[in-house]
Amino acid sequence: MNSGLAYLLRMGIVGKYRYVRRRMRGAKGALFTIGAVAILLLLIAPQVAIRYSGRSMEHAAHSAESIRLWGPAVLLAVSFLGALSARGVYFKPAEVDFLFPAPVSRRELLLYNVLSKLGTVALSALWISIFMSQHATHWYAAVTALFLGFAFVQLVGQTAGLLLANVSERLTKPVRRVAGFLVVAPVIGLFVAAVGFVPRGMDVVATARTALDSPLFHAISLITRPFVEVFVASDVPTYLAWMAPALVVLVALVGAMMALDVAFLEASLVASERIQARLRRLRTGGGLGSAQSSAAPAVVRRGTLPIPPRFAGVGPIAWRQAVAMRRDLRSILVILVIAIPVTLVPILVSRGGDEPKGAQPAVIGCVVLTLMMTQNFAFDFRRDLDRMAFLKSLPLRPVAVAAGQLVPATVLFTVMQLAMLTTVAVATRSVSASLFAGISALLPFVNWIVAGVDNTIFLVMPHRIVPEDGSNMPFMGRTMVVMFLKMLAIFVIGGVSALAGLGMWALCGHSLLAGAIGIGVVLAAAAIAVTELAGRAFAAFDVTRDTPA
Amino acid sequence: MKPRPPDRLAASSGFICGECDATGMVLRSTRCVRAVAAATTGPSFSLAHAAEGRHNRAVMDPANPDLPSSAPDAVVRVEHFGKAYDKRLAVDDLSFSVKGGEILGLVGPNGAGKTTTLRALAGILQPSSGSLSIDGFDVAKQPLEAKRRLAMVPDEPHLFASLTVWEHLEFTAQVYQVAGFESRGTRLLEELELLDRRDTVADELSRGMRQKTALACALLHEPKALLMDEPLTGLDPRGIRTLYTTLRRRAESGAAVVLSTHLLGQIEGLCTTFLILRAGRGLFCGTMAQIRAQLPALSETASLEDVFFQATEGSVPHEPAR
Repeated sequence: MNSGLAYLLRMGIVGKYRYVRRRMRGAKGALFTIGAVAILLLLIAPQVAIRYSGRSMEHAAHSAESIRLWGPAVLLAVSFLGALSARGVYFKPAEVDFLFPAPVSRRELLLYNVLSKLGTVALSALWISIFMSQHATHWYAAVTALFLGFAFVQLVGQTAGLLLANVSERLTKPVRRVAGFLVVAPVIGLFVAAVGFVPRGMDVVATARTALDSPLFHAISLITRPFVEVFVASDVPTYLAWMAPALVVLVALVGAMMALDVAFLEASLVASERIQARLRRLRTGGGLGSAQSSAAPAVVRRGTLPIPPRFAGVGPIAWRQAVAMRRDLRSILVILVIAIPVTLVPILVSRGGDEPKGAQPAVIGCVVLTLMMTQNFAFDFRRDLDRMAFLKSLPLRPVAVAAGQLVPATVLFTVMQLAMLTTVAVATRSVSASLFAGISALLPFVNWIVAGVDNTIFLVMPHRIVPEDGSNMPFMGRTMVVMFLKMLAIFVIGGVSALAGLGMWALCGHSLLAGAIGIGVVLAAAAIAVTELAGRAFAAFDVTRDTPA
Repeated sequence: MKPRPPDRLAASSGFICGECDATGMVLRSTRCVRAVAAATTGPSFSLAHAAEGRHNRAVMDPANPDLPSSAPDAVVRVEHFGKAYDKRLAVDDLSFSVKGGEILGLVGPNGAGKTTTLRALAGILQPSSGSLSIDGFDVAKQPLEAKRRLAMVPDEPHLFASLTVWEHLEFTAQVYQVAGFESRGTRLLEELELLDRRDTVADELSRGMRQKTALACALLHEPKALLMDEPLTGLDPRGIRTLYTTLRRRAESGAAVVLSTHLLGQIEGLCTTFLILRAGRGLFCGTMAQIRAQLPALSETASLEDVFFQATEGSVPHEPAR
């Protein structure tokens, strides 16, 4: 390999360490780092406790069968999706600028691309192993298997990227589309046929088990078996014995990549520019909505909303975000279409017969799911990081600007949750009208508070909500800290309001209405306080100092 | 200016173009633009045709002895280069060459094909037709040899965020196998006024400094061809002056420089030759005097900006009265 590429790989690791050290110099950075490490330890501690309690062996033995059954299917599905993502031959902008015009051979560049991504693979393996190692007999087997499995997914994606580049060179766009359809259609067709053949009254999960245990699927998934077997290995010889074929598969994939004589630079440049453009939009526009729009950048999306009354400036500020939201409606709907079935699947699967089951888990699922997704629908300050100077220059009180920013996100989440709640209520027929009305009345307050807390944390510790690349360790740490702080704030507010509700309920002769009013009053007070806090944080935001790169 | 051969001047009077059937004058084959311009039959017709690009090859015809592309000692040579993206033609039948010591200004409106041409010269894009070579090495067939002799500075230089300025040079030296780069690197940092930023990580550099770092890396292996896409963007006046000095110095030492820009006023005094592109087609190529001579509607003192508008739009827009 070219010594310059080896130097770059080495310096990549040094650079990450250097970045963390630099961040640690500032108080906020240090706080974030310490917080992230503390949360990481909190996540690891229970796993260590389980492992040393002796329960892990039983647990692992119990899990092995399920992992052997589902593991190959999951690995195949992830690899297939990875292959379709066209990220295979992605290079970062600096790599494009420096390496593409440099006298580096095609194979050297490919090898560099493979090796440079191993850092992300290792990091992902370590991260997932925190949650997955309890299902393995040995923690090192879990880490190794995840590392090898992610490397497999990565290499399949890269090989597919090269093949696509090769195909793109030879085929015109319409032919490429037809070819793409011919690849994807059989997979979808197979899935639909499999679902269609499920006998009536038979459990979906049991049918899937039968299908995955069939000789046909064993043959299809043969290539992924070694990775799964490394994970469930019960002793060192078995672990080593399965690691050998896993490594052979990976080496074979690297060999195939090297053997493919494709001038991939151009395809890679196009893919890298597209990904960069999408990342740029995500970083300045916020959330999944912006990412979706990359498919049709030339199309002018219209659709506007009437301007609401001024309300001390709250109206126009909210209107601006609402129009942006309106124009991203398609992507929001796409996400909703995915989110609602995801919430409903557990209910439908657990129903089994005709008897409706309790909908409480689904209701909680609806609310939690949307709370976790706030980052993806950041129609607030987080979307305006590069427009803070403009917002600060407006002749409006900071609290009015903050309130204006919180309105659209609150409305969006309330509508989303109500849609999901309605679906759950209709599907399960177990949500009473009073419960439905109570939840519907409280949801706007809860959403306002969540958006307010999110924005206050963001304004105090500004950060880009999308990293520049996947292997950004500080970004992962920061996300963990922000999520932790948000959950903490919501837990405290939720706890106080529940106590107030309980008090009112007890004082007013076990009246549910009184309890709900008690909760509502505390939530409303919290919403006002959070808005004031967000306003102050906005006023204190220093555009020069606080805008992250 | 060199007088034109009479056969070309004769090519203009009341016939039909052999290539495009345009009426009004003879436009003999590929020479119509020059012929029409030279015959002073009025620029609007000829320029309109040139802009349509149906037969503008004459301007850059390599068979033509007084055109830059035919120079035998050319470092950068582009012959009938075409680049298509699916149905869209980004560059069409472009030919030009740049000798060592020349600084070629690649100018044209957005979408003219400047960046595509530079990227193809750097071996990043594969040409759909034609050939490009650096110092005699075909970029598509002998990419490593060609790339050893060139350097490219893109319009928005992306550096490795966590590497220092010096580490960028160290990395470049290893990629290009530059022996004893330390003294040359230090000299370059001094020349580009970056010495005090030697140990600053790229993340903490201003845009102008990032640009200069990218330039320092590009110059480290003393390339024979220096390709620069919009090099002036983001530089302060001092930075621009430094860049001028650096580029002139490189050209004087025998390098061929190709730079694209929209800042016409800034490069007029820097570039020795210009190539005006529009919609992927070369309209004019030559020194200012040569291009001016092809545009009779312009005076001898017309600026590059006037030449640009006349060439690409057929007339020079009037400045609003103050």
